[in-house]
Amino acid sequence: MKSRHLSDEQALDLAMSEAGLDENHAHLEECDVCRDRVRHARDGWRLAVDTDIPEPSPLYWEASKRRLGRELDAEDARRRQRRWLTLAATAAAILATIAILAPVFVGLGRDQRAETSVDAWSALPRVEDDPSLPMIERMLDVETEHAIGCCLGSCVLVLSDEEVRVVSESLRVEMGRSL
Amino acid sequence: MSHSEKATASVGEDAALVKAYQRGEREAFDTLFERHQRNVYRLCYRFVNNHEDASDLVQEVFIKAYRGILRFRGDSSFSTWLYRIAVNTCLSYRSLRRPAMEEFHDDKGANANDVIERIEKDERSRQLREAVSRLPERQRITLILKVYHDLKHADVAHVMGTTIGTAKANLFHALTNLKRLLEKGQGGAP
Repeated sequence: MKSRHLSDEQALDLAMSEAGLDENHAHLEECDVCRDRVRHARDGWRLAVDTDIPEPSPLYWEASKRRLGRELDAEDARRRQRRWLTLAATAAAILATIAILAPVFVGLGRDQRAETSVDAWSALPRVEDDPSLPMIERMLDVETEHAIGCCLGSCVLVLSDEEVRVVSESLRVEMGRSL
Repeated sequence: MSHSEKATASVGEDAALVKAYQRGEREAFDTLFERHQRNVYRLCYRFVNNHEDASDLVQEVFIKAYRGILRFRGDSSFSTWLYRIAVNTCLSYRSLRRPAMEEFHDDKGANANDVIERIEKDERSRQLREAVSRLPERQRITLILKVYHDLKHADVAHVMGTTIGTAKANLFHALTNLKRLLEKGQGGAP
């Protein structure tokens, strides 16, 4: 009984080499199909080996080198251009980011400054800097001051800001009436 | 120096040139081109069977190599890597299929028998190249790499991006189809 046909790999190995595996040789002796396959491949190999291609002129290789040199110069130029474009795009992106974020930071700064100016604006002058105090002190006579048991300055100093504001406002109103 | 020692030395020189280029020496690439352009040209010529297309393909192959060489890490030899680029370029190349260039021989001074012998040999070569160019693309490339560039089956498989078994099967079919085409006088597809 005939064994299975040779695989393409086995047939190729036999075609390319005079010495094949023994069992494959034995198979070839009894299998016409595989013998033809191996013979065709071997003939194909011999035919293929025995062929030349036209050799270009020696000048061709030099011309080819020059042509490639020009191509590579162009490629280098494109690379440089791409690098500059990348740099320009990066710079543009950074500038755009700054342009977008700058108002936000400036706005934050303004808010901070606004808070600071509210503090400066809203508080009444510090007690010692209040120009109305000397006038108030002149208006009050010493006896009255002693009668209430404290000096106006120390009285005002222990008041809270809100109390200072209310008292100062009341005094102004009173002074306005007296004038 | 034996053939294998020469091959090993050549691989080492290629690797050194690749490293030199990667360090920024453009001349190293020129040297690589000089060392490999003939092999790449022959591969391309056998694939397209005409000088003009082969010439264009060689340029394309080396431009692609130039673009990719900075990423080449030496996992295979430079020539195998270059063959792979060449094969892919050939496979994706769609040519106008210009007619094959006629060879020119200066027969001045040769006797009639020499001339006739040369004409017959040239005619055989032409017929064979025609037959090779009619093979299916992958069979054609496999045949070219193995027969004309003497690559090992493993290297052919690597270049083709396939297994050794498939590469061998492709070669087997290429050879038997080639024989059939020549018997038929190149008539019809395999």
